[in-house]
Amino acid sequence: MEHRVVITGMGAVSPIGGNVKEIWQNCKAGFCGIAPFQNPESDDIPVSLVGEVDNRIPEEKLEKRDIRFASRATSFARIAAKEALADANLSEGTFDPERMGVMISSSIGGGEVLDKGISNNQIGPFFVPGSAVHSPSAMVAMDAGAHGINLAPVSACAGGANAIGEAYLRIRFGMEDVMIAGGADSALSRNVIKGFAAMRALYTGDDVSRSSIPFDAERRGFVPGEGAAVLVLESLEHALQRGAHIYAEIAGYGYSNDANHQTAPREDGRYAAIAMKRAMQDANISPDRITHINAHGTGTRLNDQAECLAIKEAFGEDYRKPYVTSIKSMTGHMLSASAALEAVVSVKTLEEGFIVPTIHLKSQDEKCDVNLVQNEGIAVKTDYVMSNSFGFGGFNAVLIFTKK
Amino acid sequence: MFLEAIRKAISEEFFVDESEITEASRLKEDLGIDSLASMQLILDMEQKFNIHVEDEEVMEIETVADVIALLEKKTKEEA
Repeated sequence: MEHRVVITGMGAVSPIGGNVKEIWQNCKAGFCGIAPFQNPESDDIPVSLVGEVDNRIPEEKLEKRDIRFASRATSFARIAAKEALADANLSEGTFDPERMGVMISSSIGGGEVLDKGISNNQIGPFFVPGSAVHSPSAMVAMDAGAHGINLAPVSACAGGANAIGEAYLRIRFGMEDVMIAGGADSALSRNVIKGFAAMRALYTGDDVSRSSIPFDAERRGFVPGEGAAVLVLESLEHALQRGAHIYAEIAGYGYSNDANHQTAPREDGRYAAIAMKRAMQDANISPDRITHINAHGTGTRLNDQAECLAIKEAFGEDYRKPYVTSIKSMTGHMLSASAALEAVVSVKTLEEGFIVPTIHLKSQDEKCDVNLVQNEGIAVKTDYVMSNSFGFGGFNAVLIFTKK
Repeated sequence: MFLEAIRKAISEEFFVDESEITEASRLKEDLGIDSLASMQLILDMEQKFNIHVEDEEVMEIETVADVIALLEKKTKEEA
């Protein structure tokens, strides 16, 4: 028997706020969280603007001793998961902890834990567990007392979406009742920034309004960011039985791999389009039902162009019908956490019938001629919302959400 | 001397109030210092007193008094 899968809790921390409510308000208002780097590890960081989480957020929400040896990704994941679990109101006795799993993706893990240990020549017992890519998933399971499956699926910046999609499959096929799924990352460690900069993937200027500008003709790269977003998923029966508030249903999940290049997307977006088509097939809908696409839209020349070609391929002659937006214009690129945050924003979009804008757009690249929601959000009744996430390595993951 | 050093390390590394740390304190139960954290504590002590603690010796530590006894033994041995 297959189960329908619904979302009953959400939590997030990002450069535009420390909880879902605040993030959603800021998204609606087109608030930009990109700013000069407040807490760099050193003064030789090759970028001046980043999407940084305010350090007061972990300090207020976690114990000092929990933060000290942990990666930022792990701290963010724990904060987001706590919010999502409280929001889902999973009280004791209403669920079986042995049938509750966790999948929190991270692409970088604790880069700054590695940096600090190596540069201070202080390799202590927390060096490995603190920096590990699985640490966010492990710590969230510990906080939640979740004894089911635990995986930290790694697929670069598509990771948060793959985690949610794979968690959805687990519940759909009856392998777990509840899943805590999402992504957590920090791209702000000194050496990770240097590495991305060496790839010429980053915006290195100091003009916020020209920094993270997805689909703009002047885009020059992404702005490194950080954060986490976590969803609580459960089977529809399970949610109904315990009287949970249901935000939305996961209608479809599509995936593919470019199998093309270590970092560059396939230029024609062919396999990204296949992921979108698979998601629509899984949801059993035609493209005209998708009101809105929450795009991957990183602001790199290659990604945005390939994504738009993929949308054209997947949606055919009606490719300009869905409203397209990229919240990375406000958050910067939170790596795997962006994929999960974009799922959260997609769900809020459905809930409120409001599509948030792509800000700082001055002149849309003619090679990216999708129907962009430019600079101001719009109220639109949404039917199905698609969220695209792609990652270096050719990873493509697409989720479709609808109201239950 | 050793008690002061241990107190300082535990409060700096794990944010436990120094006044809560006595010789009788159990690392895990009273101070929340689990196996990994106790290894960090021992690493700090090794560096501070220039000693080397064997793996088996770390496993036997349960209280602050145990750490003090270990440090006394090690500093004598290596003196």
